[in-house]
Amino acid sequence: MSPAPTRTTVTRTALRRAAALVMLLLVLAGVAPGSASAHTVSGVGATNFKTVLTGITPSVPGLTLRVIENGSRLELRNTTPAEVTVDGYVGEPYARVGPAGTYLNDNSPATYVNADRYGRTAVPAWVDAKATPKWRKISDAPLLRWHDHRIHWMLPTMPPAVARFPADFHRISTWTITLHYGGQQLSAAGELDWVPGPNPDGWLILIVLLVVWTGFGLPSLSHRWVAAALAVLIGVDVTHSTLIAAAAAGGFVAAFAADNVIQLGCWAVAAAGFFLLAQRKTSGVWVATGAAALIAVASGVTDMPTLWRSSAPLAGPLWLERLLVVATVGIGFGLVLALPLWLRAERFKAAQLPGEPAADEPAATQPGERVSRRGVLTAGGLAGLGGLGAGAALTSGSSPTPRANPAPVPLGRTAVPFHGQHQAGIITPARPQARMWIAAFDLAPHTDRAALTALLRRWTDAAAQLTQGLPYGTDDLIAAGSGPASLTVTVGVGPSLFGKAGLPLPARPAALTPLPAFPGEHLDPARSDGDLGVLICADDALVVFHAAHTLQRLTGGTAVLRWQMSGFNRTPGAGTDDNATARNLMGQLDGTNNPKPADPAFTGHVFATGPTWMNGGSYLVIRRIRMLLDQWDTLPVTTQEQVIGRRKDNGAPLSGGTEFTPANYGQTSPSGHPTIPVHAHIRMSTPAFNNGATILRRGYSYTADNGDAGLLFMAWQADPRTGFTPIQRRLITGADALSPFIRHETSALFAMPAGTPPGGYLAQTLLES
Amino acid sequence: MKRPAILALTLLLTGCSLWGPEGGPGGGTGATGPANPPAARPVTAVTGPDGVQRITIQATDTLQFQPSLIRAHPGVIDITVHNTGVTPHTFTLPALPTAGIDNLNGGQTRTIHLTITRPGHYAFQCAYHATNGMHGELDIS
Repeated sequence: MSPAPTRTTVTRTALRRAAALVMLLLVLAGVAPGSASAHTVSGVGATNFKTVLTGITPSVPGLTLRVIENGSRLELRNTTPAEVTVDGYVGEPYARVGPAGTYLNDNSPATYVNADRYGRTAVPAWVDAKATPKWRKISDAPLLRWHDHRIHWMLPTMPPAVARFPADFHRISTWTITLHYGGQQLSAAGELDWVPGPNPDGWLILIVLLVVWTGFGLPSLSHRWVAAALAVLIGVDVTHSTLIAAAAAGGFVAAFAADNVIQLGCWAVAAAGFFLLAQRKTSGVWVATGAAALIAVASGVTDMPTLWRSSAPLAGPLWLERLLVVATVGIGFGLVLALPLWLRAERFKAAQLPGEPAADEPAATQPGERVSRRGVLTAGGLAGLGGLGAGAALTSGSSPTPRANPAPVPLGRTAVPFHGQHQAGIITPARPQARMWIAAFDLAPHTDRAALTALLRRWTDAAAQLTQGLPYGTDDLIAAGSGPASLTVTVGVGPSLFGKAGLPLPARPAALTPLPAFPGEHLDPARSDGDLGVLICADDALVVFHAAHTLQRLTGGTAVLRWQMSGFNRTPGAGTDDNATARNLMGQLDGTNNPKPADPAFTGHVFATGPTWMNGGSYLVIRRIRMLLDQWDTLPVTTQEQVIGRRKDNGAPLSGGTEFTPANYGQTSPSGHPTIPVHAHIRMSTPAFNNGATILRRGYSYTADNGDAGLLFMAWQADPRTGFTPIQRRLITGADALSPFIRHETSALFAMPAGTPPGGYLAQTLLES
Repeated sequence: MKRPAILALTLLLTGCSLWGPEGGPGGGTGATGPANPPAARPVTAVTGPDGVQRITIQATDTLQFQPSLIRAHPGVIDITVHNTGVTPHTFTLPALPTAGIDNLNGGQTRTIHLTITRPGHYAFQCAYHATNGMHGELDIS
């Protein structure tokens, strides 16, 4: 793990990237008026000019003339056995279309003038309209498409009447084109009109809403949503560009390629953005934003006239074109707006997690929130295909999660989500908090199920508020001015609850059977067991006390405190490496061999699958284990290491390697003794010699009066009968070398139910069964 | 950090220049022709010492003949047409189909000699751009 970048580095990187993005936009601004002009088909984009062909008189079956490409060209198709001739501008023959193919008269000025939409060409000097036609074959097909300048507006300025009253309908001109067919003169007549477009205000408001929604909605979300927004944008842009190119008569590929040079570049940049986003890199957000800005300008802003003009070239309805443009501009600029907000949120996150990777490292994630590369690519592909469908999915699927109240110090601002599949405090946060309080409550006599339900609902509501840094009820202000400081509240039920409050004993899961008595143990019953268990952890003692005090007050006579204990762990920031395994009061690294969340079997080891109320829950064994430090301290370090089976300084197993090197229990020293002694604690407790029994240890140290110090041992497991119990039994029967230096004084077992959804309460499915 | 947003807004506002002559919403911001085109002022051909009347007409890229209203007397009239732009034009007199200029490329100048004896209104036009308003009139009186 590389050292976390300092705030200065992050800022400098951000500034460099901002400069690059600004440069990109400036270049774009320079290029835009030239090549990044609106999507057009044969030089015609969205326009209010409308060319209408009223008809050919007399009409000839098999001879069709139509206006194509939004008035840019005429198309003449002749499937009759005879030839048709089209007149040029001064009565000369211009073109012949018939069974033999299509010919142009090189002696007609129209041949040259009609090649360009605005007629900005030069006619060769030798061209003579009055001379004998010089026919040149251009195609075998009886089909001609040409820019006839009689049918459309040629000027870069508006007709005077339109300039004066642009909101009114105007008939600009009527036009006639003469054709000759079988000795007969045909007259094609039509009109050029000015048809005012609709009021675009509704669409413009939609754009603003989309920009705001995307801009302010995304930053609170993950990389996945930035990728999804970009994917929708690309999907919209591909759809838009494709439908426009499809409106070109003949040569879709050529029309698409010629009209989308910038777009193709943008899509390539966006592909790079997807790749980086899939790796959860912050640079991916920058690249995505750059691509989005380019697309928003090149395909969005330039095509916005479609919103207020009466026609646009598109192989589809005009409302679709308008919707696509609105989506392009709205999502594109929304992403640009999201960038600074996103960066602020990232810095906020980086400040919260001093040891967590920031900037270009993969961002800190919750398990299950990680987005797979394939997922992103699938999203991109689907959006590409689905276009607006994906847009609709995004609309319905995203709602920004509420943020915790910011508090004065970054450590305090960190909030651990309360709602979820599992209760918080079991595997979240990843690093155990610095302070812990655990207590057991017994139900008051004659408490019924309704009262118990009400208590659990109060506790749930309070926990949901306090863990997010929000007040609950009448706040006693103990933690006022502090943030949630990673507060977690984990609540469960003990074996003795069944048989009370209308919960029948047979409803108790077998896994919640009270732990067996282990030989040689003398437990204090007053500080063991209990009907309800509450575990509260946070990175601050005041925050822990505040939550504990609040929950105690909320019992309201329904339950009474049976016992309570407080523990501590290394304070975040106190270690040179906060991610390193913490030490217990014996000086040993404690928790090295814990199952890791990345293990495929991790969930199976830690979380139960049934009954329903425990599906996703976990069983907690809590034991107050006093350390007999006076005796322990008399041992030389080498002997202490023999007792544990690990080196004291770096935690490496005595068989060699580093802390996380698997222990080699078969290794022997030159004298023939096992390097990890037969009774060493790690040999006794390893899953390898316990039928795979695995527990997640998340213990806290404690100190009390008169040199009483030790470990509040906490083990989480799917079932204690295949977790704590066999391990403990073996430690005793196998004469664990550590046993003489420790003493189990109390014990409790709690079933910690599955997490609650918003609106639910803890153990709801148990109490409503 | 706000720069990109400001820039984007600027682009959005200056986008009007991207939207061509038809302009922004309401048809407002684009380039338009004169709101009230001044009524064409007639120009009389100048008679030279040789008795030939001469007039020069400019054909422009704004698809206009300048002047578009010419006055002359029956007799010999030399009309010089100068194409000041890059777009080809014609100078076509429907009443005198053989007398006009079939094509005049951008930058070119050509002179036609007309002999008109009968007074009357002789319309002329650019055959390519007649529907776009590129026409005028020769008044012989």
